[in-house]
Amino acid sequence: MSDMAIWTEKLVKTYPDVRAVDGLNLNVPRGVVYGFLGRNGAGKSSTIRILLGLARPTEGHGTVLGFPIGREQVSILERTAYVSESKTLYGNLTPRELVRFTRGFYPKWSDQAVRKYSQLLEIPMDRPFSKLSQGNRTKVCLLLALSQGADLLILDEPATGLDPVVLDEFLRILVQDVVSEGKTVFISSHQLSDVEQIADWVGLIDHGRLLLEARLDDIKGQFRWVTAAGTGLPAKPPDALLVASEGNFNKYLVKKNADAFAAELSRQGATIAEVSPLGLREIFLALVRKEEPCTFGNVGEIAAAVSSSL
Amino acid sequence: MYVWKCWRDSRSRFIVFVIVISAVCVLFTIYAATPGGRTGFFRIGPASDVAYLWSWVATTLLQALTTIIALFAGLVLAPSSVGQEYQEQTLGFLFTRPRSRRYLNWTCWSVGACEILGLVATSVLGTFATLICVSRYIYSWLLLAAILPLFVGAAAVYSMTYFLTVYARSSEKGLSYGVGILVMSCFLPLAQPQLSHVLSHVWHGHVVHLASFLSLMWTGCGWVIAPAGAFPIGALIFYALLALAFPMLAQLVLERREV
Amino acid sequence: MLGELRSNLESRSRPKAAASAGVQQGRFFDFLSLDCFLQNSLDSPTVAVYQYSMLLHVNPASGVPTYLQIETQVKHYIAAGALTPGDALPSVRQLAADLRISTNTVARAYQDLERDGILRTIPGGRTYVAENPGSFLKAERVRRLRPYARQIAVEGTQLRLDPREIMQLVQQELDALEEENERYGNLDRKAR
Repeated sequence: MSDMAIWTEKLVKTYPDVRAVDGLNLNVPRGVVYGFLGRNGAGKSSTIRILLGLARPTEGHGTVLGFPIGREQVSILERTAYVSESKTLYGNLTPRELVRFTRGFYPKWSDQAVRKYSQLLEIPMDRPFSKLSQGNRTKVCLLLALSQGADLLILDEPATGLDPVVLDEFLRILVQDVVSEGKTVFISSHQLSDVEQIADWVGLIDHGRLLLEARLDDIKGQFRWVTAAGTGLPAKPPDALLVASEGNFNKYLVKKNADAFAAELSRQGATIAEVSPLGLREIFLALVRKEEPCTFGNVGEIAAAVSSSL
Repeated sequence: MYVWKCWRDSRSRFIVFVIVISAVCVLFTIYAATPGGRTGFFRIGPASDVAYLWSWVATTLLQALTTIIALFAGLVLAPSSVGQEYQEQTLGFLFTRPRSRRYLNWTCWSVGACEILGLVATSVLGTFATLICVSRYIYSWLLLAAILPLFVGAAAVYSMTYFLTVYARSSEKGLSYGVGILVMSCFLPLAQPQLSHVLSHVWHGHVVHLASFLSLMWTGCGWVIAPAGAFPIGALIFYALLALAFPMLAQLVLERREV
Repeated sequence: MLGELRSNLESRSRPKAAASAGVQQGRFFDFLSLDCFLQNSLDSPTVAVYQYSMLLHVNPASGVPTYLQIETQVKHYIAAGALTPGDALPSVRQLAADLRISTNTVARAYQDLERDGILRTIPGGRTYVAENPGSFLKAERVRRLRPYARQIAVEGTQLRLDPREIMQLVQQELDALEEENERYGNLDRKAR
């Protein structure tokens, strides 16, 4: 557990009217980019707040960078950089003053990094924070996080308000200066394309539970669209997550053993037109778009299938 | 860094108070010391009575004006840092810095307490200095001891308002609750006899007469100016403890709070 | 039956990689789609949707894992003559930064290629195209290609193409590679 960047076991967080986190077992290895995905209200923000000590878990425990959550929270915060979803900092201070405020907390702070990134990200350093646009506010928050010398970066929607050029530059900085140094990046985002590009691992949370946690490459290696043509094709085969039909063609979304599935269809007389891979967005939508939340059996199956190559 | 930030948040308010208090003290003292003042509006008596001048200026200034201003300062300075954090929703940022909530709580409180001390010291020293300059006579060094009751009283009000701001999560609510309690505590002694009467039906022990914030500062200054009777030690200790108890309560609240 | 076939392939060709069954499955299975992907990318190399470095580009939104895309491209360029033995590839860090993808992904691609003997890394230094990609014995090289050949045979049959058509296809691809080799060769000659 202590060799993981983030590890939780049966984490539960209940609010009066809802069970926000419901038995979460996160495993974030060190030195990777981990994309934390989920719908709004799935429990992403609650999880992050627990990791950072802003909220206390109802049940369960975990460690961040080897330190137990809650008991040694200050040690965690010394080594963790956080960019919140709301990106609010002190309105009356300028970015330069915010840097001055923040640097005193961190012995590993790098002034050189501040100079470099404030230029690369084009941040107006002497305008009061309350007068900055959303994009500039995000940039300031990112600047503070990057200059901290942290071992773990927890980024909640880091792309808010960023134009494509700055976003591209930020991704480059992330890869070149953070991931290459063996630091861990934990990104929670709705921008699936950005996550897909930069993430090594993906964790998909829905109704407070992990539906999926595996290397993105492996996930992409397992999920397939199987397009079959013929008459009498099964309308709701048990192995398929989704079925789409048009005329004589049926398209099945299979989460593992696509070749066996295709072979079975072939045996029943169908012609397999294509077995094609899926992008992250399609996988995400297929998994979370259900009538009812996934039962534990479902979760176990999916997670086991793709994390066999850990 | 956090000290700097707390200071910066309350800096302007503090400076305003320093200016106001200094101005009031200096101008008042000078005016009272001039011939026109003494016999004109204030009518304080024979011009040559230095002792009388001392006691009169000090009494009115320290006991009345400065007391009220210091109390007011206690109310106003308290909400600045913590209340702002709540309003601007920057608590999420602050609490994810590597400092315990206990440290943040006490640092914020201490900055305000030091500011109050500074204000009180300014007013007392200012009065003292101007009196000396005007009358060219040091009547009593004891005047400087006025810092103590003034500071304790003002600090108690400050701590109370500080705690109320933390608890209510807002500057405005904290301030209004503080004002409410202050006013109530000032008027409570007026109802003392009736209260004792009611209380004696329930509680048959000795009912302690508790001085309000105002009365502590008032009596304290009064004693310093004209040392007769007992110095309100009991009240002083009580309010000193109160001034320390409220931030401790605030710490407990902050440590349990979820952002 | 197909599943049985697949696991036989895997156990014969990659005995030590049995643990990473998931990866291998992806490799073999995606041959068809990789092909399509390459075809598209070669036809329209300037499509703005792709991230690019000087030589390599990836499409993160594709269903093909990124590291596989890199491996395939490197192999293709070597086969086409664009990369010759001794050529230096960008460092893991540089390539990752240029493509805006994780260093772990690039590292994985380079490691896989190195394990296959296609790339060579000097300790603490750059990665180069291996001097002698055919350093394996002929028998070994044939053994490595057999699974791909088997896959073509299987896929072709499943698509109801007859053996002649399948062989024609393979020949066409070999010819196209030959052509590319000539083109890159000409460029080299012109440069000198």
